[in-house]
Amino acid sequence: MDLKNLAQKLDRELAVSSTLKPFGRTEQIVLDVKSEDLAKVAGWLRLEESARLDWLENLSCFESKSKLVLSYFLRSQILDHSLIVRCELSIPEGEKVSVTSVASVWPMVHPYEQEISTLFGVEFKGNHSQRGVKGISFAEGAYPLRKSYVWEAVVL
Amino acid sequence: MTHFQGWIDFFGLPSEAPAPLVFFVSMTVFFLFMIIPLSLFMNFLERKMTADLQARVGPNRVGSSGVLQGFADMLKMLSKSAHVSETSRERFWLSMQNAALYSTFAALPLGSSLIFVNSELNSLIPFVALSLYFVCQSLIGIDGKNIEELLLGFRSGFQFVSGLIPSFICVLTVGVYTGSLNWSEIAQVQNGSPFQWIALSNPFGLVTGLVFILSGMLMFQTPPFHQLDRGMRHRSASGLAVYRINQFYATLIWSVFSVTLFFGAWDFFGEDSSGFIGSAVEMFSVLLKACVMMILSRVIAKALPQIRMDQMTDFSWKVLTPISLVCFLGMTLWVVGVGR
Amino acid sequence: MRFSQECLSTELSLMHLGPIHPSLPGPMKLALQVDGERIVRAEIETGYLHKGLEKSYENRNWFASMIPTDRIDSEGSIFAEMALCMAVEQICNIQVPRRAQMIRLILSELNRVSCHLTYLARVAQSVGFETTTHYILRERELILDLFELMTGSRFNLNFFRYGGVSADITEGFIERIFEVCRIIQIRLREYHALMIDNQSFVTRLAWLGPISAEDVYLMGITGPNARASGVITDIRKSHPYSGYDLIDFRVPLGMGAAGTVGDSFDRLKVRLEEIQESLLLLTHAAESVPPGDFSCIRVTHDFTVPAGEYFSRVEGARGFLGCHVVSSGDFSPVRVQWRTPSQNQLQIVPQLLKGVALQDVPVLLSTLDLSIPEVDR
Repeated sequence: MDLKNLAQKLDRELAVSSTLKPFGRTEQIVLDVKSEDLAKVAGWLRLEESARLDWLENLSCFESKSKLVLSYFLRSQILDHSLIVRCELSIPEGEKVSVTSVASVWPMVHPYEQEISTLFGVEFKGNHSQRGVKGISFAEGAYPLRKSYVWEAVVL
Repeated sequence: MTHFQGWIDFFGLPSEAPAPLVFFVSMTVFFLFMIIPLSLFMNFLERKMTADLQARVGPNRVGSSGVLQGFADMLKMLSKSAHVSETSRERFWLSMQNAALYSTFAALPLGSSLIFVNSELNSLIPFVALSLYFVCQSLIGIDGKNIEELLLGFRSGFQFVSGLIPSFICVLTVGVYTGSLNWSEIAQVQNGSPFQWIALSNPFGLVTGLVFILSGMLMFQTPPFHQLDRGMRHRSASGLAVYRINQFYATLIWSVFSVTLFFGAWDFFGEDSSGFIGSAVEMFSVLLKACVMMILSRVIAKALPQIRMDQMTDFSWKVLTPISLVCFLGMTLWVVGVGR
Repeated sequence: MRFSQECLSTELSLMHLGPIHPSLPGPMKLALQVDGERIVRAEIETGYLHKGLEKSYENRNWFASMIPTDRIDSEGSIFAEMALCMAVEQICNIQVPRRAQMIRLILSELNRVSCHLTYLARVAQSVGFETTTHYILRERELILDLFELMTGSRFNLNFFRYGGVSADITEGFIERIFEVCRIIQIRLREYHALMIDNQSFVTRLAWLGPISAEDVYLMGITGPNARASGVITDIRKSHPYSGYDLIDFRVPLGMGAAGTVGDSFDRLKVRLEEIQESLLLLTHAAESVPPGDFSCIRVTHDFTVPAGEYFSRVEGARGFLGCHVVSSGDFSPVRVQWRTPSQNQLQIVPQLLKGVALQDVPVLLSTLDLSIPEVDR
């Protein structure tokens, strides 16, 4: 998949600016987009002829330099190639961050969004899936996987 | 001589002793010295044979080769208490259930002079008593504290009814062949050699016998027609012990009925049986055959998975009942054509 | 004359199972709305086995990171170890010696056979088929003894290290592999007779909880459950690792042998066939272990990983197991995120339970091969 071409097409058709970065020290490339453009880009990547990224392998989140980084690991079952899409979210202290959900594009993202929402305090707007599966919950404002979270040991 | 003279001889009671007294003494002694030890022994035997089949050792801690495991289990059970106590209604239905079950002792064919009720239809009496047993079980479920107990009660009832019908038809089939529904007369027909046994005398007899045994396993929820979760977690220790012994007794009496109807009853190689020794030999013969049948069916069932409830009732209505009807007709034609 | 209106209650009943219940695959709550014996609606609540494993990585050095890795799924700990090691090795650009790769492959396939045998035993137990359960567990003991011979443990092996494995092949291990493979091959025929050719067993599983190919896609299901639904997905074929590219093997698919494609029976049959394939893989791998080092570096407590990240993919016994490792060059990872197969598989459970009889709930849940530790972490 020609990623430079893809990024240019994205800019042309959706007026979305994106950057291509290496994925760690590997040869894989990450398509970095703004969080507000995420939903548009997701839909476009699903339908675009040269991409056809129809399968979401994983959605990962980590905190780096006071930002939450969401990484979408995508794959095309038809064209047998993969892509990582990334966006960064700034973290308000103790409050939830919101981003648009991509569940309408990749329905299999649901459990990951649910988990990240609980552990990192990211609200995925537009995820209305009612699958009847509820995960762990913490107290309001408690997001354990954020670096700022302080474990308070209770001595009984 | 009365038809329960054997019991009078066993306990050395006077011949004029009233029947209720003889019944009470006989049942108590039979229960304490036969049913309970036999249930412990059969449980041990089944566990050992099952373990052997499953490449395991089985009980081997208590007593030599684990022979006393049953006693250890009984002692352990008696020390447990229920975490949810029984309601008064539940206790009432349980006592009714026990009364219904143990009343079958009156028509239990353990020997030619060991039957208390010797009427023309005494082979049908146990059906009435067992029906009451399962009605009480269903009522316990209906009165239960939660949906699981309710469903368990309904399941027991449906399963019982589905097994009752084909077994009833089987008894009628035997009645057609022997010309009687009286235990003694049924046993009389099968006196002599094993080829006189109804199961071996004609093909309809054998199939009817198998249907009867399977129907009994269905009715009494013995493997593979058992429920994995028998709702026993709410029972007290004594309740659980009574439940287990009831299960054993119910299965035992059904095996005794099967033996009497199809496998020669108390006939012991055609030997004449009278007096104390004769009655003892007859009882031993019946119980031995019944125990062998029970063990065989349990061990064979270990090679099968549990059947789902609707599959059980389907099996009964769609397979056992039609086969029993065919055998009934077949037996009638056999008697008319070939003779008894 | 007045009559009080009495009528049979026809409302739906609510049943709660869990968090600890013998029918459930692990600690989870299952709320069922039932209409008589049939389930109308189901809801699941998990989180009872949440141990904060992913958080604990941030407080450990790289060397100690293997310990929580094993606990992702204690039964299939080797797969998690493989995923973590592969991710770290890619970031550090470590070339694992061929011998170590083969050892890893052998242990992975042994773990796969062990997990599948446990699955078969669990399914047999759920339908009350005790005899088969004991037979299968007896065979599983052979595999666990092999693990003990090689690694010193039966579960939570903690054997893989960055750059290879922690020790070379124990004396007698390869010979024992051949013996165990031979025994299990014979026993597989027995299991076939007891399960596949047993009409009572087939009737319990056929038509139960079918997963369509569309549902596989919508829920992101992978592994044997997806293959049972006819979807070809195997990381060992699409992203070969650790020597899988050198050995040819077949990927079994569900065909609707009894009932429909993707039902419980297909899920069981696919796993039986996968055991067969794994035994062939094992025999081939054991024959072709090359001489050489079992590890190219010696990992100690002060081992660090340079700044970078990687997402590794491994075909676990339950499906696609992924590990996203992020390092900032420090002594501890910034993030170790796990993509576990059971996370996605759990999503389809409420849908599958609709219309199922209550007695089939433990059977259905056991055939899905869910690992609650993987879900909760």
